[in-house]
Amino acid sequence: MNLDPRKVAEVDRLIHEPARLMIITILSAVKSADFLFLQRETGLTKGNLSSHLSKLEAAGYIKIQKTYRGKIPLTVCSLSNTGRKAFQEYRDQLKYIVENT
Amino acid sequence: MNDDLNQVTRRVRQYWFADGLAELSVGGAFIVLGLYFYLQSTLPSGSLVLLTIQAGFVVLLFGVIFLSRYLVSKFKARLTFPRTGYVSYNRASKKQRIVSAGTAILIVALNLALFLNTPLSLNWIPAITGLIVGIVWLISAIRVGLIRFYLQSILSLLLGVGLSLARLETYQSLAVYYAAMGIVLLISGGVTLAKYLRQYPTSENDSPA
Repeated sequence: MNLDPRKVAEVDRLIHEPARLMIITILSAVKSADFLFLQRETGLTKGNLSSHLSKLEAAGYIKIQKTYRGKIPLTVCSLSNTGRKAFQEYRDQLKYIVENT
Repeated sequence: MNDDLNQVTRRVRQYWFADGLAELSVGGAFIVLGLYFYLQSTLPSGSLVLLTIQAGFVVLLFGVIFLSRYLVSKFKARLTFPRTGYVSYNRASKKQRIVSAGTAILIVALNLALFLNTPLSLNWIPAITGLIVGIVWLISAIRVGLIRFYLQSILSLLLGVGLSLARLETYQSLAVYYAAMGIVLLISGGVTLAKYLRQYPTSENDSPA
């Protein structure tokens, strides 16, 4: 029980939000995934998912590419190097907190 | 929390196998291999057809692998991605590829050494084949957590050992092994695909973020 309280405060809140954590976790396991897949896996509404993706993109954690598959618009998301690093740090922080409480 | 994250990661990995297309392609490849070994066992030795088949084995093998990958990606683009979304997976890292290639070379070298030194061990080729395929399947099963892969892994081993104990001619038993495993994979893949198409009958449109 030698938890440094500052470590808890240092947890990345942008990633810690459950919906965004789910998005980041999914993207960490793949090279890229489209909007439909993310929506199905997270169970979020289109608007909600869109809002979370925008926040993650603004933080530089994910890259969003808008293309077309035939005539259907396709939004493909992938984790950036910054996002991958931030996610790894987040996991390490969580592990530290769990192990020291 | 880490367990939950691992569950999500595992589910994402399972997605590649959700439509059964991967099993259908491997099943098809196994049927071709079964046919190859069947021809090896039935054609008269020294015949032109047999020599051509033997010479073209590597080309056939790579052709089947290439065609399977091409067909899987085409069918996924047509059937799977419009229904449940597009996912592109990371390629294996250089280190992983070196380890896989090294392991494959080691297995082949050990088998060759065994067969050259003890000709009687040729009877155990189907069992060794069943074991190797079973291990590959087991690794996939552990990685993605699909129960049907565990069953296929056990079946591969049992089939291989059973055929070795049956003491058939080597090529015949390999033909039976690949044909039987191919049929099992085709059935498993077909049932999985049918279930998938029933579960997701209509395509959903993607929405821009």
